[in-house]
Amino acid sequence: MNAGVVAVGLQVPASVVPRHALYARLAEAERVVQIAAPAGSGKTVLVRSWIAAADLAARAAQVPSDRGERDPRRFWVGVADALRGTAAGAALVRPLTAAPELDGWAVVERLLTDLAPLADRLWLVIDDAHDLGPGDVLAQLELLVLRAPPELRFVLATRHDLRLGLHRLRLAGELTELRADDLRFSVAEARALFGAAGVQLPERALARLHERTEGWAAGLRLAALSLAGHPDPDRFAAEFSGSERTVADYLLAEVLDRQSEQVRRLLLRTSLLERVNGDLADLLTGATGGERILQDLERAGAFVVSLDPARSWFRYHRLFADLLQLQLRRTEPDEVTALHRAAAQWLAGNGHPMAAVQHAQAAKDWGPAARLLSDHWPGEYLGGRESILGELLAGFPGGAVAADAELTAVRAADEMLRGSLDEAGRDLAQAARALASMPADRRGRVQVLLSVLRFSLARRRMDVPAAAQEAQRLLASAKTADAARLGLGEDLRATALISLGATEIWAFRFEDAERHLEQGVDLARRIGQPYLEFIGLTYWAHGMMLFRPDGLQPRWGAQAVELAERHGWGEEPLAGIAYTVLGSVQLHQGQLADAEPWLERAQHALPTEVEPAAGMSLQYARAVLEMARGRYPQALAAFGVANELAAELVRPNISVTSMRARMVQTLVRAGQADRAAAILAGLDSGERASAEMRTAAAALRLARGDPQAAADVLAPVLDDPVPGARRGPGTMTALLQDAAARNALGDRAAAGRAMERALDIADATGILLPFLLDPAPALLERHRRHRTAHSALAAQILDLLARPEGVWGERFPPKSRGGVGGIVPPKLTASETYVLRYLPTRLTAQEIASELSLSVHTVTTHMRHLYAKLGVHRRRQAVERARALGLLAHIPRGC
Amino acid sequence: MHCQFRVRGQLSKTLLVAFPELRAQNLGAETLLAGQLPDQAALFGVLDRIEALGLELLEVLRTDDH
Repeated sequence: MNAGVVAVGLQVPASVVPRHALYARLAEAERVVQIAAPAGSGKTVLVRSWIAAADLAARAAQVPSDRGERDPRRFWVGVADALRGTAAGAALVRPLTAAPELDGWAVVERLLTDLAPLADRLWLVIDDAHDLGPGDVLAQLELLVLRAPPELRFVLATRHDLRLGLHRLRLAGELTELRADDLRFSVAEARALFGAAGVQLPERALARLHERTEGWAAGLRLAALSLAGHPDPDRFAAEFSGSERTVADYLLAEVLDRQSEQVRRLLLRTSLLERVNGDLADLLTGATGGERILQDLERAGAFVVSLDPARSWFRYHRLFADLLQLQLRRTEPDEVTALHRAAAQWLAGNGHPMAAVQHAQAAKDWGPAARLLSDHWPGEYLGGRESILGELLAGFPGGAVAADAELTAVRAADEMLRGSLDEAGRDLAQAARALASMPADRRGRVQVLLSVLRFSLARRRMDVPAAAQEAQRLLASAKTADAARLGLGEDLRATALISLGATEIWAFRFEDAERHLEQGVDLARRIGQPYLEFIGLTYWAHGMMLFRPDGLQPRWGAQAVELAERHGWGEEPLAGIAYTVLGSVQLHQGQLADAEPWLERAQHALPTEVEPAAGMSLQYARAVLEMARGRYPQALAAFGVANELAAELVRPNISVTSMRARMVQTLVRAGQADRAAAILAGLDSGERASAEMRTAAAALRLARGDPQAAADVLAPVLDDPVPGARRGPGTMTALLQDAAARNALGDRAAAGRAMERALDIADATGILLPFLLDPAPALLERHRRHRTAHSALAAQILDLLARPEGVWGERFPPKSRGGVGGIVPPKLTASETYVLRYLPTRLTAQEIASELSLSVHTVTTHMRHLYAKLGVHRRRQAVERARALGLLAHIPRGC
Repeated sequence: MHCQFRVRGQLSKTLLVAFPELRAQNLGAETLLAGQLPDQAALFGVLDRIEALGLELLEVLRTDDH
């Protein structure tokens, strides 16, 4: 819940006993400290009081611990924020904003890069580290620990040993461990603890209490609470010593016995809450003065900690809360459901919807829990907390999700985020069928939600007809009802506007699209949802690039990238789409050297298994880049990947046709005319008749020495009477083929006319790429010297064709940029690096997947990318190549 | 699977609320919790609760014939 965003209270109460021996061990500790001891051993208090006593507050990054809900993204954003809260960290660590699909591996790589120059000692303190496991987060933390700069120190408090490669750290002498025995209070420390609580004990009683609690911190503190103002400490100690009951349970009962009825009632009835404030306490007790009681308890050191500087929100110590809850369940079992229900209502009305869902579920109020989840998940998703969706869905009884249209829609969203597109599609269809049985007051809203989700699915699959259909639906609902009547939150309204605009691009309604996208992006900015703004700009950029022939503008993509840099989303899939757009824009302007770095960055950020449509755009762009450089084998390899991805997209599809037509032309150019002819022959008649495929067919006929046939097959394309819709690179390519054919036929005037039309388009759009893909310098030179309105432009193109560096950039001929023997090592993503480290082992992909807690599909995808980047085909070659490039040298793997 | 958990100390009625699936037997300074558990996940669930409540686990035994 949102109260968790505030920093955990870092103040140390005056009643805390200084533990100088332990402070000294912490001060002299190795790079990594693990404090592993059971609940109630005083781990948190020790670390906080040491930081205060050693005056390290400005150099200690303390990560807030969120009980029971360790969302990986929130954790890493918490780590970055905590580091930035220190002086050294603020200077080095770039800001990071939570976002859906934020990749923890990428965050770790980024932190390592940022912290590499760290010169002053900095402590990263992670409490309740046992809550991190056993998934990706712990493995990511391990990577951070192993590769951190020497001045970054780690203090990890946990109930049990962490799977963090401790063995290796231990061997390297880099681990200091404090364990349960180390944390036990000595008799002197116990005496100090009682003294600080105002309890004067006879020596014999002190010795008995120390022996009975075995120096266990929680036991001593509970005893001190029971003994404050106790008439007969000796008798108390004797009775306690004589009892066989467990320490915490015995003492908690004593503590509760000594509280007023009002306090006891408050403690028991609020023990069900993760966090409590005065209002909520008063609601659950039916009394007043809850806030004062909580503040008093905190002052008395009674296992209550305030969470904000104003001391309005509190949390109980975990062990204490668990024991109180058991007491409540035993003494007032019938009240438990009513308390959960009341808490759910208050939390829902006060801005804590997800916590409200959990309490509604605990009260078995499935209907309200489902409504709350359905109403509020988009906001949680945009805030980067989407991993809670799966957890909350699992909190409903079996069959409840399938029976409820709204929950089914939430599940579809969850599946889509995990890349299970088919399951998501099935659930969306099922939700749509169940819509009719929904109450009318919710139906409109859920309809919009389903449209947005279906659009998102269609976008990922590049399913144009489905996207266009959603555009119609969204348009209809936008016309017939205003947002307020549908009960759309502003999050959902902005999302709907952006989805609507993006679908309109797909439906070739560009003016409406721009208007809606602008409104959606503005609204997202106004309500402080930068991620939604980012989505809008990226959709905008990619949609325009795909569907508007002259829509290659860097503006939206550049804005999206700027936003991504500012929030630390540079490795996000969406950023990968924006990079693809920017690279493609440069490519089309003939700036090949400038295009390449964008396409490389896109290659790292874009998970093609989740974003096949964008992945195809990227591979297509890479193929064209290679083709423009005359590197046909590399171009054909990239076309091959694009073609595989195209198989996942819904056909027919203008982008797929355009890509495959280019592939045919590349085959022709690479001297594989027979393969080109075979592909053309295998097309269905509709695709063969497309302008793109006719252009490809013309290229083949030209290459086979039949310019007349080339001109004939192009005629329908060039006679097309809709000039506005055909002003892109495709038309330019057709015109250039036509010019070449006419020239070969000896009709110089017709060749000149075709060339002039191609230059017209280039002048209007800035697109020069076709001239580089089908270079005809002689023809262009002759044309320039005759009648053309574009003499300067023709000269510029000739200049590009003549200057290899303009085409090749600094990468060719290869210059040394590090690596071995002047060979530049490919830049790997964090996930690829992690997978690479397993390649020298004998583990299968399946085994690597389970080691890394990834799906086997993801691992094989990473391996495929690794092989492509390393330019190899086999695992053994990949290992050799990675070693030669220094990519595998310094990273040990074992444990 | 039938399991036994031996923990230190006598467990009060309050603590036993945490283990509804197990029967408790008071052994003086120790308590024996025993019962039928459906699977390994349930076993780890019990261990989690023992840890969370700060109890000292002395022994775990599987007492069926597998």
